[in-house]
Amino acid sequence: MSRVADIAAGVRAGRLDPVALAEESLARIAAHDGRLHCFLDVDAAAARRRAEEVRAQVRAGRDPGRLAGVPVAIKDNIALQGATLTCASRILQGYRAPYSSHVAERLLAEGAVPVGRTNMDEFAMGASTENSAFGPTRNPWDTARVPGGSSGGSAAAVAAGLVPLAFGSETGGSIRQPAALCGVTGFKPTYGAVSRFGLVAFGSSLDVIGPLAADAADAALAYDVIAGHDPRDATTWPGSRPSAVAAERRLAGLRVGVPGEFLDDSVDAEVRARTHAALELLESRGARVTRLPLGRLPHMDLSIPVYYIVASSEASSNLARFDGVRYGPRAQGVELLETYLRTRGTLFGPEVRRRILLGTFALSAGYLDAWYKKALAVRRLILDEFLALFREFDLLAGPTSPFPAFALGARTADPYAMYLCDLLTAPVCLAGLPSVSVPCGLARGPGAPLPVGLQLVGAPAQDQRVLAAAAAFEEARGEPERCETFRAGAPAAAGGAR
Amino acid sequence: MPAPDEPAVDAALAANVAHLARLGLSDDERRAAAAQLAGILGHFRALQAVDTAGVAPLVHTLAVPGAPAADSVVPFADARVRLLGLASHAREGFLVVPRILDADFGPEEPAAHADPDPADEESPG
Repeated sequence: MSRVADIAAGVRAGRLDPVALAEESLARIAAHDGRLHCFLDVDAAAARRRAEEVRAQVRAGRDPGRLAGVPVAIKDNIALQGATLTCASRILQGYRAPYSSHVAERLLAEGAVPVGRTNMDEFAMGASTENSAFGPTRNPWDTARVPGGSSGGSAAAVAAGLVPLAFGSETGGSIRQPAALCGVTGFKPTYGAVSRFGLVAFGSSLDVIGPLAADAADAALAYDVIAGHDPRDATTWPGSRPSAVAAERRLAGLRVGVPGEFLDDSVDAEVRARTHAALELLESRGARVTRLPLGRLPHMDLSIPVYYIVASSEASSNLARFDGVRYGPRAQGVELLETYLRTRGTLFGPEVRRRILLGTFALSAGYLDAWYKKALAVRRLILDEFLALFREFDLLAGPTSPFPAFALGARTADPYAMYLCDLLTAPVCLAGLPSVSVPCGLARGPGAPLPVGLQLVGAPAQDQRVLAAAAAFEEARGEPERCETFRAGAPAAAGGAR
Repeated sequence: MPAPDEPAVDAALAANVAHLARLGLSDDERRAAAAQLAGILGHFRALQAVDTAGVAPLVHTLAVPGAPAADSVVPFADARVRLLGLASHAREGFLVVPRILDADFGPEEPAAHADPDPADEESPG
């Protein structure tokens, strides 16, 4: 049983007190978040009220659900009614969600206790959480380094043991890359598996919500809770889908392809070494691992331009709604146009402005065919190349991030250098595929050891297969090295030891 | 370098794009934006060399076809109060914006309120 399932089982059986669990999580946040800044808002009173509701349900003999009493952290772009929803942007400072997202509704329906809103790159645009208008999150393994992004607050909160389970969103790598850099498990479901209702839109053809957790079993439980059809998001699949928790965890006979493009020279040597060791472990447990030469994903090297043009174009349209009229603060001008210009020009941060400009450019008359439509055509080539590989393989494997966590400020001067963080995750997003990042060892360098993530990628709608393979890999790997810095005195039930 | 048939990304082009995006930028910000946009597009230019003749643009990757939403009215209790309460400028049950039809009336009085009372749909103004 996973540790999230352990907590829920303890609460359901009356052995664990959900109020005490919430207090433990809140105490850990109070003790450590001053250094880490995982959270943009912690509503302790709301968490206590919610935990008391769950306790009352148990005492009344009602089952609170599969996440009974589990403290959860939710990225500040996923609506939870009454809670902040700032997207780490000054343009939504003070904004509170008037309704809950489908995901938040599902979490509450299964007994979860939201404790806080996690930090992120502004509007999920970034790979380091340094684009938050409210200051960066720090990596628990080395607080001089970034946690990755954009779901960096959620990843760091799980890595530091502040919560056992968190939720993020991914458009180009924003769940898996911070999971890799913080040494936790992060899962990006197939596009359309989880409702986007109540997720503040960034790139609507790419955005997916998913869990960050201590291991794949916890991620599978969270996925089973949040996935499913929602009539309010027409892109979610109707009908039922297989349970990820119940899926058979078997590596023997699994056909695993390793595209040469996933492990070329642009990948850090330590990351390559840990990835090769992970592949050997898969082989030792009976997986049929095939290392492919370069050329099976011939257009993958164009994923960065394709991703940044498609996502930025969609963002330029989605973010048009933030004009100082309906939401958030306003920079008032004499005329309406001047109000729009001042509000958007001063309250969006530099990276968001840059992407709105890039997207507006790519969609503008004279450039639409050359940039936006070109990017969509190459996106199809990338998808077709992935689908061809899945006619031969059950899973693809490779590193999640080309490099381990980097120093704060190391990539902020050059936007393109930051974009390269998405090199190995963006192509998977462009193809809408399910993918998980699991810890596969530590990169040793001159400083503190830093986590490395292995990503497993599945065919469309094979989410349960990806999570089951990840859980089987984790069983073969054994308990990973955890970041202990912020775990001293960790309460056993709220994210510490099993 | 830009293709021969494509104008350079200069401050004028950046100004036009910024206007389309309703982003107010200073002269310095426009110049910086033009340089950054030119730099990013320079990295992206390899895209132009790909032969995509006959390749249909991919607009979604839905693995399983979605189902259109039912065309029905969904109740949203106290919508006016709850939604107006989120705006920085609201009065008498409406959003307040600067005049666009008759500017002679001068600027709107700012009616900002940081923490509107959801019980009162009329914001102080």
